[in-house]
Amino acid sequence: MASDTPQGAVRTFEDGAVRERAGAARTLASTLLDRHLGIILLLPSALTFLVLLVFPLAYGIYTSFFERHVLDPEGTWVGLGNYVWLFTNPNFWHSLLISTFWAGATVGLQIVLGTAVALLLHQSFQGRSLVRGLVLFPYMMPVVSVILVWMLLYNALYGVINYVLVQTGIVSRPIAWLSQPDSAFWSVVFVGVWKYFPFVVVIVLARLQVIPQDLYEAARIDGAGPIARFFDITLPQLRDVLLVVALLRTIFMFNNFEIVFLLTGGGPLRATMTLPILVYEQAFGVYELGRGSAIAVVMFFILIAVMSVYFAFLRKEND
Amino acid sequence: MATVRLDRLHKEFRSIGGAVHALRDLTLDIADGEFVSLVGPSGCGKSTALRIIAGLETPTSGRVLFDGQDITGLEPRDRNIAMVFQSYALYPHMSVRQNLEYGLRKRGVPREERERKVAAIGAMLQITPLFDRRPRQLSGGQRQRVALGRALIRDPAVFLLDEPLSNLDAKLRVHMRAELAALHQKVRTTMIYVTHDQLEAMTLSDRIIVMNHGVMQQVGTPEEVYSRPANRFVAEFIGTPSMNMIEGTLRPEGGRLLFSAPGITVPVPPAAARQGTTGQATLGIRPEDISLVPPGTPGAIPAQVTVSELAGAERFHFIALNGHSVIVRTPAATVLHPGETVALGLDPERLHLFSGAGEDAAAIR
Ligand SMILES: Nc1ncnc2c1ncn2[C@@H]1O[C@H](COP(=O)(O)OP(=O)(O)OP(=O)(O)O)[C@@H](O)[C@H]1O
Ligand SMILES: [Mg+2]
Repeated sequence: MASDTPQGAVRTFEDGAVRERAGAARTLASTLLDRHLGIILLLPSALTFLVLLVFPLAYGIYTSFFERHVLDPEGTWVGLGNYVWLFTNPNFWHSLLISTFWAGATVGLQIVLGTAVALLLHQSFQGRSLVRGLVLFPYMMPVVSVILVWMLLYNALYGVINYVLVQTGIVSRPIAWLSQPDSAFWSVVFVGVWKYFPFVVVIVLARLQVIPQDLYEAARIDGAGPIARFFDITLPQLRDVLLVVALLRTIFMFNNFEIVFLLTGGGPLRATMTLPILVYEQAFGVYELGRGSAIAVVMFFILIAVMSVYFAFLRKEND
Repeated sequence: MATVRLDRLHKEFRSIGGAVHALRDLTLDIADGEFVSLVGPSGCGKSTALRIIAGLETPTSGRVLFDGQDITGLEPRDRNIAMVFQSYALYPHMSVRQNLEYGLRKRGVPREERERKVAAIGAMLQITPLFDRRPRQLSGGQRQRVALGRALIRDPAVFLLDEPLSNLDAKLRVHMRAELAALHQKVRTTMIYVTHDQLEAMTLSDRIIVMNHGVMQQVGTPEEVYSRPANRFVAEFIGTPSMNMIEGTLRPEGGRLLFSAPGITVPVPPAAARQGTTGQATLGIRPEDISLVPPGTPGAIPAQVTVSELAGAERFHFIALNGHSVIVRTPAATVLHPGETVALGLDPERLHLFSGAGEDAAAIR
């Protein structure tokens, strides 16, 4: 059936040619329109796509083959030189590791926390709509305000967290959360989770609301208790949406720059130096635009690889 | 197997908008192995009654007893019931086999026994070839069968079905209806069946419970509810096309009791007349109990044909009768034309009289 359409189109066109010979002249413009209408209609969006997406990407890749800095703004071709520098630089490998941990920890915790909160908000209780609105608060707050608030909370001298911990006797001396390598990483992760878990809540909650109630009733009759119902009904129903959320959050968190940068700038002792901050350091700190671009290109391909694995996995699941 | 007793069940749903009385004072005894149907219009409380029996809903007051034991407070899983939902509610991410054995698994039935039971159910319902499919890969009828299988496999004492056929097309519905009847013959479990399709109820049940606005209107065999409806609501609800109703008055005249409405006067059968009810009343007569008689027959009522409809083997004639409209059912061979004048004869033995004009007007017998 599908092959009928193009053949039909060709036949119409030949008919047109016959009529042309008979004297009914058709203008070149209308012939062009006939033949290329589809392409013409697609052109605006295709061009926009090209200009906005492909060009910056291609330019980034192009730049990564040059050594470019303030003294040499035009750039000098170095071929794969920037990549060689990159792959032999321990700082790059360190940042790759930090980035992986950062993305893994924030996404994992966001999903666990987000799902748990969504399950709570799915229960009916007094003032539920109010709480549902409040939960979105961290997500809607501008990043800069979030950072300011958390800097104050974490502050070693007058931060609320230290105050409470010291007052209740849990610790004897205030902890400098953001200035010790161990605590700095987890403090930053905590803010990343806090800021973005509402995204998971919203999506999971929307999915929870459309799980047919009678599945739970059938399971109750079949003898499943609350825990069995969660694992046998709720979780399988949420699975698809959680997979999509995991992918989206991973891409987002892997590329996330501002939270870590504003809180710690990548320190102390590179303990929170994720790849985006390394890009920033190279491109705008020491003005090595080529090297910065090379890191960005590598990040891009890492994400492409993650997505390919993800989609291959999904395809296998669906068969 | 179990007897079921519903004892003054009452259910009220309270919300901000006010309270809905879904069930009022429902008392009913169901025998072991009996097939009963709950019928009634949408929103009359059928599902609520079934869900209370299942334990999915708690009654506001009243009790549910199985074999004489009060089980009102028990969880669904402790009641030894099985339920088939209107939507089937098959677990979408499980295969047919997993769906069937889920209940057994949750009850800790050992593996060999599970496999034996699944195989037996598969053979009985002819779904063995579907075992490895997911519910979404099944047709409506196949899903329906799997849902039945999932309920049957546990050998429940009471089998609850909430409009299990309403999602099927007309032909399949008739087929599955017959299968259900055969199934009940075979397993002889107490079955409580909810439907708003009175034909399903008539064909399947030992007894029918007709409900309206949460109140039980009549309980009886299909034959009883059809031929001796307890009130005007039951009379109109059971039977298609529904019973013709003519509102008028009952008055004594010359030692007899007469029902009269504009253009119609019929003598009341002696049994009903003996009750001595007079005043406002409704006369009911089924479309098949009105006959076309030769003009001039004593007692015949002249009337005019409005429309005739052919329904396969029979014809329904819409006939205007002094401002009333009645439907007459005849064999297809009887052809009448719009505008034609006919004479109608009412079978006095088959008249139904109700005292009053409302839905709850009780039958005078
Ligand atoms: N959870 C609930 N909360 C509030 N009202 C309810 C609830 N469940 C049912 N009702 C109300 O109770 C009444 C009876 O409902 P029920 O579901 O028993 O009707 P039904 O006879 O099964 O109708 P149908 O044929 O449409 O399925 C209806 O008026 C309905 O709106
Ligand atoms: Mg219902």
